Amino acid sequence: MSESLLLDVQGVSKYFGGLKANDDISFQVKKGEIVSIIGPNGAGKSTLFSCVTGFYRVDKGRLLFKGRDITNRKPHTIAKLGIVRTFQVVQVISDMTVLENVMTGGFLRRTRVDDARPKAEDILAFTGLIEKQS
Amino acid sequence: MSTSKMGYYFRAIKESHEIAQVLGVDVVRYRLYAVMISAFLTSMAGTFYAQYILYIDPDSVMILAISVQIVLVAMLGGASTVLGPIIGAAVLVPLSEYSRAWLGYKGTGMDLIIYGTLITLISMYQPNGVWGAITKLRRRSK
Repeated sequence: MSESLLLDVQGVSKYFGGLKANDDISFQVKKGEIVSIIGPNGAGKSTLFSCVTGFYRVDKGRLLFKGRDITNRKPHTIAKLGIVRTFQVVQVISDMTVLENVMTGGFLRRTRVDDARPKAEDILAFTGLIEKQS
Repeated sequence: MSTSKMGYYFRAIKESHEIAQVLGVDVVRYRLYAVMISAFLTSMAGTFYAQYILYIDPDSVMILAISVQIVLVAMLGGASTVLGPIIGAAVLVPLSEYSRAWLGYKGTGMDLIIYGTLITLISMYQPNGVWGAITKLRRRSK
């Protein structure tokens, strides 16, 4: 397996009862690539994302991330390895400030608040949200 | 604690299970931590109470009313804040005692009705509790 292969989806299937939401899907994402998944409503795009990030259990197939098997791992484990998702409707922690929202995600890499805060500020500056931080 | 990693994770879980998972929180683990911490604090209070009163039996400490009251104190004052439960206790305990002293002896249950009404009103109009209302006012005045 080449070094540049990030995500390797091998024959993933997800059924809801008799409905085949995802049927034998395979694709690969290499480092530096941006891959889009398109399709009409109900095609199973979101289902696939939920499978990759561990929100749904896949019924068949395997998922590899950087050569590691992430099939049916818990969402937080997969997030720690480096795959996170967003939702179709933006979800934020409403009783936290913008900065605190970013920091909460940052705790995956930096355990201490003093380390997470400057990094979160850097990211807010990068995305142009720094004025809205509190 | 509210400014530690664990504090942020608890607040994330409180907002939404799913958001917390996306942010990489092991929800089950942190929920267990929360239960452990609250059990620890409750047991401290219980031990203190037992040493203070020197007599306990299931009917006096294990009744539903006490469990409900513990939760109510936090809710009324403002859950997930530091000062909230203190304010909640300061409001709730005198409230229940005074309404009982004032109306309880008549045997009509009026004290419990008033007590219940006040709790309903606060939770309807101020779901974040008394402390939540105060912080909201302070934020607005800034």
